[in-house]
This record gives sequence, C-alpha cells and structure tokens, in this order.
Amino acid sequence: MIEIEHLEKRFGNFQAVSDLNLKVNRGEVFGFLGPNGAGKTTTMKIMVGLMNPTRGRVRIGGIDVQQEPVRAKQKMGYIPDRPFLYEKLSGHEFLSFMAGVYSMKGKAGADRAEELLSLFELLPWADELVESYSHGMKQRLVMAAAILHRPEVVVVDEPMVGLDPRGAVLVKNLFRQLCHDDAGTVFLSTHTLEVAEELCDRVAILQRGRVIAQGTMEQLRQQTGNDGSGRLQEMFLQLTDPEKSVAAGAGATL
Amino acid sequence: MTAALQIFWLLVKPKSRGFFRLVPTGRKRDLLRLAFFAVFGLGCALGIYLLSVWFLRGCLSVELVGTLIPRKLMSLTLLILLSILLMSTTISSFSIFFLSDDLSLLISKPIPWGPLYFARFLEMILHSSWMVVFFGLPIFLAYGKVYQGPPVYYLAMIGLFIALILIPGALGAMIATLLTRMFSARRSRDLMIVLVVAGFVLLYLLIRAMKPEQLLDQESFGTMMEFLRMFRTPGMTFLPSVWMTDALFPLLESKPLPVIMPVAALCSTAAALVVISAWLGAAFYQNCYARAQEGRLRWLSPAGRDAVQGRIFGPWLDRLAARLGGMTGPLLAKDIRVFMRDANQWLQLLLLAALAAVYIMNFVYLKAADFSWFVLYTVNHVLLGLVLSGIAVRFVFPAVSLEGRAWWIVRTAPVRMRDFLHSKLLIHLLPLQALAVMLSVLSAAVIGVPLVFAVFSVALMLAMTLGVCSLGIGIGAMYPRFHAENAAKIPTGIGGVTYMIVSMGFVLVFLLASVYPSFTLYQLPKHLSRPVMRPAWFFASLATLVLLTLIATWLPMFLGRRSLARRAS
Repeated sequence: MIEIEHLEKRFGNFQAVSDLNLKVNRGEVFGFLGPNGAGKTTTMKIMVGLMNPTRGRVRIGGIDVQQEPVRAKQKMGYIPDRPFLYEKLSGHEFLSFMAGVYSMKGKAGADRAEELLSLFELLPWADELVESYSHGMKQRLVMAAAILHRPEVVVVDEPMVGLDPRGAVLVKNLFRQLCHDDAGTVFLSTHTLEVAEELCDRVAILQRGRVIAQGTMEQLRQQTGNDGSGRLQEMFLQLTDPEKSVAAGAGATL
Repeated sequence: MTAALQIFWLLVKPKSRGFFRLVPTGRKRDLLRLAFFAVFGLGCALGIYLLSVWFLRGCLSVELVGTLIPRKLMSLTLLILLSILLMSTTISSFSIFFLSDDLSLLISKPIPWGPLYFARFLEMILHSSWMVVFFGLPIFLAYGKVYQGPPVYYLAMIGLFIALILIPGALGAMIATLLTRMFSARRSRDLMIVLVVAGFVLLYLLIRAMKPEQLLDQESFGTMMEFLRMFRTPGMTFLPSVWMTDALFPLLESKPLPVIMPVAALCSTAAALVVISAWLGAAFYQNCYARAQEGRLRWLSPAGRDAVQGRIFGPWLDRLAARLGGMTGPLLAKDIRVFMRDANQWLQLLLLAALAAVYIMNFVYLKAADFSWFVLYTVNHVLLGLVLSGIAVRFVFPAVSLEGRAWWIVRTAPVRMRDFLHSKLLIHLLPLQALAVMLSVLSAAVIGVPLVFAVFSVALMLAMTLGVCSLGIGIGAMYPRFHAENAAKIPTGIGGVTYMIVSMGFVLVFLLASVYPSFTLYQLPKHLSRPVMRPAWFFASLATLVLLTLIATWLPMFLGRRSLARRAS
C-alpha cells in the first residue's frame, strides 16, 4: 500500500533522509520509530506532499505522490504532531470545510462529520470556535478530519500528544479497526514505545536518516539477540546507542 | 542593580539575535533583495529630505509670513508623529506585553518584574516606532540643512527624539494595562483598532471639511492679517510636540538659552511617564496577564455571539458553497467566516467605506474648481488605480498568508495549487471589481462624463482590477507570511512593498496605454469624418491594454504557484 524507494532528503549540507526503502502492506499498522532528528517527520512530510524529496519516490496504492499528488492525497489522511487549525471556525464548520475539500457531497459529508464528532466526543463543543478548544480537543478534531473521507492510508505523527487516557484508548481502538476491519493502513511515528509495541504489526527504526532495523517484534528480538521477553524500549536503546543503553539499563541518574 | 541589568540583557538578547537573523547571510539572491529594499528605503528617505528642503526654502522666500510657517509646520509634523506613535505603541503594547507566545515561558520563570518590563518596553518602542523615525528624521535633517543648523542641533534632535518617543510609548503601555485590567487583552486590542479606525475616519472628514485646497488660493483668506493671525496663535503649550519645537528652533537659530525649559519639560515628562507606567505595570501586570488569556465571548448572549461570529449567515453560506463546489465553495465559506469573526479584518471595511465617501466628495470639490471634465476623468483613473492597489495590499495580498499555520491542511488536501490560487483570486476579485465599478460609475456621474466615456471607464477598471488582484494573489503567494500575528502585519514586509511597487507600476503603465484611445474618443465629435487619426496607434494601444492585463493576470499567478511548490522543497 505504501512504497518508499531510495528516498533521500537534503537540507543544504545536512542529509535528513538517506536512501530509505520501505514497503507497508494493506491492513498493517506500521510503526516508524527513531530518536529526535532521525528524519521521521521529514519522511512523513514527503509522504503527504508537504515536502519534495531530493531523490527517490513514494507511492500510495501504486500512485506516485510527486507525479500525481491530487490522486495520491485523495487516498491519504494526515495527522500532524501539532494541531494547527482555522481557529475562527467551529468544529462543525471545520469538518464541513474538510468535507468540501475532499468533494464529499451534501448530506453524506454532514452525516459523516456528525458521526465523527460523536465518536471523538466533540459534539457538545461542535459549535464552539476552535480557538477555545484544548490541545487534546484540537488533536481529536484533526483526527476526525483525517479520517472523514475514509482514507486508505493514515499517516500519523505522534498521535498521543495531548490526549487524555480515554482519548488514547479511543485512538488505539480506531487505528486497529481501520487496519484490521476496514483493511486500511496506518503509518505511525511515536516516541511512546509502549503504544508502538501494543499497536504495530511491524516497525522500522530510523537513525540519522537510515533504517537500522525493521520487522515484527519477533524479528527485532532476533536482530538484537534478545530472548522472548525483550521489550521494544530495550531493543530501541540497544539499536540506537548500544553503549548508552547499558547505562540506561543500569538505571542512569540525573 | 547589576543582576537586574544582566537579566535585562539576557531577555533582550534573543530578540536582537532574531532581528539580525532577518538579515540574509551569504545567498546572492537574498543579498540582492536586501540591497534593493535598502536602496528603495533610503531613496524614499532621501526623497522626503529633498522635498522638505525644497518646501522649507520655498516657505522662507515668502515675504512677511515666510519665517513663521516652518516653525508651525515643525510643531504640526511632531504632533502628527506623536499621534501615530501613540496609536502604534498602544496596539503593540497589547501584543508585546500580554499576547506574545513567549510570555507563558517567561512568566512561569522567577524573573523579577523590572527587567522583564523594561525588556518588553524596549521591544515595544523599537517595534512600533522605527518606521516613524526612519521617515520622520529626514524632515528634521532638512530643517538643519535649510537653517544651516550647528552640530548641537543634530545631537539635540537625536536625544530629544528618544525622549519624545518614550512619552507615547509609556502612555501606550499604560493604556494597554488599564484596558486589559477591565477587559481581556484581545478584546481591548480590537476595541483600540475600532477607535483608531474611527479616529482616522473622523480625521479624514475633518480635513475634508476644512477644504485644505483653499490654502492654495490666497484670495480665500479674508485679509492678510487673518492669515498672519493664524500662524501667530500660540500652540497648545502642554503638548510634547510644542516643547520639542521650542527646544529645536532656538538651536537652529543659534540661540541656546530658551532651550533649557522645553528640554527639561520634555525629558522630565518622559522619565516620569516611564516610571509611572512601570509602577502601574508592577501593580496590575500579573492580574492583567491572567485576564489576557481569557478570549471567549462569555459576556454576550447566545444570539449576540451568533451575530458577532457571523453564524446567522451560516446556512446561506453553506448553500452558496455547495452550489459553487470544487475548491472555491468551501474556501469561500471558510474565508468569509474567518473574515467576519476577526475584528482586525472586518473593521477595515469601515475605513474602506469612509475612503469611498471621501473619494467621491473630492471630485465634488474638484468639479467645483472648474477643471475640464477630461482632466478630471484622467485623474480619476490614476487615483482609482492607486486606491485599488492600496485596498488590494491590505485585503488581497494577505489572502494566501491568512491560511496561517493551518497551511498544512491545504498542502495535504487533494487540491491542485493552481485551483487553490484561482479560488482565492475569484473570491477576492468579485468584491474588488464591484467596488471599482461603483467608484468608477459614481465618480463619472459626479464629474459629468459622457456615457461612452463612463462605459469605457468601467471596462478599463474591470481589466485593471483583474491585473491588480492577480498581482496581489500571485505576489502574496511568492512572499507568504504564515506566522504573522494578524492580517494587518502581513503586508508590512518585503512582499507587501514589492506588491505595491509592481502594482502601482502596472496601474501607471496600463493607464498610459489607455490615454490614446481615450483621447481619440474625446476628439471624436470634432473629427467625425476621420474618427481615428492614427489607426495603428489606436489599435496598438488597445492591444497593449489587453496584453498588459493578460501578463499581469497570468505571470504573478504562475510565479506564485511555482514559489509555493518550491517551498515544499
């Protein structure tokens, strides 16, 4: 469903992403992990058309994002890490706007907006201006907008930031449902490794713009030489900085 | 004291670094752009200086009253600068003291009040006064040149300017603090903008009512004594602008003794007001900052809130959006809603209405001055073009930037950038063309233009507005400012200046090309046997008009689209 081939992104002399190759199948929740500055957000911005790559290509459902951006974007929903919205619209009006942008006609768009406002528990605030929403409420609204047009692929950058525990559970269930019941694909980046461990069918760990490990949890354990009980956090630390992971494991102090 | 100073510098440093990073480093294109705007800015300042020198010399050459006028003019100029500074510092104070993003970080840290206040005060003063100083100083340099002022005049001028700026700065900070204590900062700022707009409208009407064009007509003054009396009446002696004039003029004339009192008055008032504003801030700031965070319309009834937030048009707007479809429909509904809910935006319509009324009134007065209708008709086109450019820089140029930090929504939506820009053009073109046609028809009626000229005038305005509007959208897309705090700030950067230069250039070239066809029409009754004297010129002019419109419409939209696409790289 998602094919990333020889993707490269340079900012002047800085190489943010180097020769990245990934394939994500339909029906998968794919975790995209890595330390700060590894190139995760840059990769996702290229996937959704917010940035152009220096080299390489991204295909969504067989459609090249650079060649046919409109068709590719029609298949995607994007949830950024910071939910900047039109502050002077109400939640309801914002979803109506998004329905219009995705060419959802009249009642179908309105019904779907209503359904999502209810799902994300935003109905009581649906007619309030977005400027009065909390960070978590804005994050829920962005999620509702991202899945409004029933996309085949959802690209998510840090989904849990600002969400309360109830919201976090809701989102986890939603992603599972999207992939396993509706045969969609979720490409998710997070620093909350417990979430990745719980949700993702496969993960890739990125460091300095390159994939240093990928596969299922079992495959990662084999790569890192962990026994069956190895947690993702330990494997992550071991892969991204083997020397410091020993200190962290021994209980580093401030 | 040393510790407080250290904290003060620590707070000032990030802002000053941020400012110097605006100066591009290394890239040839950026350096060229900077050089162009530096030359343009200095050119304007030089123009003001030369014009002032010429005008002052002209005044001094007039017998009897010649020596009185420059002093009165200096006082008047300072009063105008003072008024502009007071408005600008008050509005900036709301943003810098109460609404800036970095305040939440600073307020939560154990920073003493004094350094924090003075660091913000300095930022507010620099932010709101640099432009006034940059374009005001050449006038005072011109005084020095014309009067052959001694070096002490220039030194005193700089020192006194600093003292003068501190006065509206401190007053602005006090007004912002007191208003925020009563209302929320956002509402207070909106209220201030209403007052400023109302003030400008009033000023416009007052100036028009005074018929300043009569100053050019010496016979309109009853007697020479009446004229002299006007210049001899003492100014309001409690105004800082009068103190500064009283301090600078004796220096120009090398009479230093009478300088002491006005200098003392100016400096002591500035110092006292700064201290009082700091004291007021220390007493109320914490409470005011907490209030500033409250921005919701709790004090209105539900019906009032709906009206203020533009919801009464909601269903109508949704139906219109559905009918238009594509990107234009949803974008139109969204843009109108956001416009109606942002007081910074819709309040400008008041100014626009006043401008339109004053524009038409001007032609009533000019018509009464016995100008030929063809002259007025030509002047009308030039003025209308410049007015439309001025309106477009405020309303059309920011169209793309107003997507703000939510720009990612458009960028990730399945929408072609071309369609997005065309939708923005359509949304802004129709109201601007309606305004252009209205002003064109009304002014033609006031001037008494024959029907065929009125029709030609409307056609010209429709074509010209298309160019002006496309330039606004296109150049706005080339210089987007998605992080600007409010819409009014968007045109104040390099992009806004570029737009004004290009747009005015287009208007002037366009109207130049329209002169020959207009003149042919004017001559038509006298040359009915040979209606077009030089057919090649006539058709070449018409072809130029069409070509100019096409270029001004297509090129900026193309460059804007390409620039937005490149930003993704």
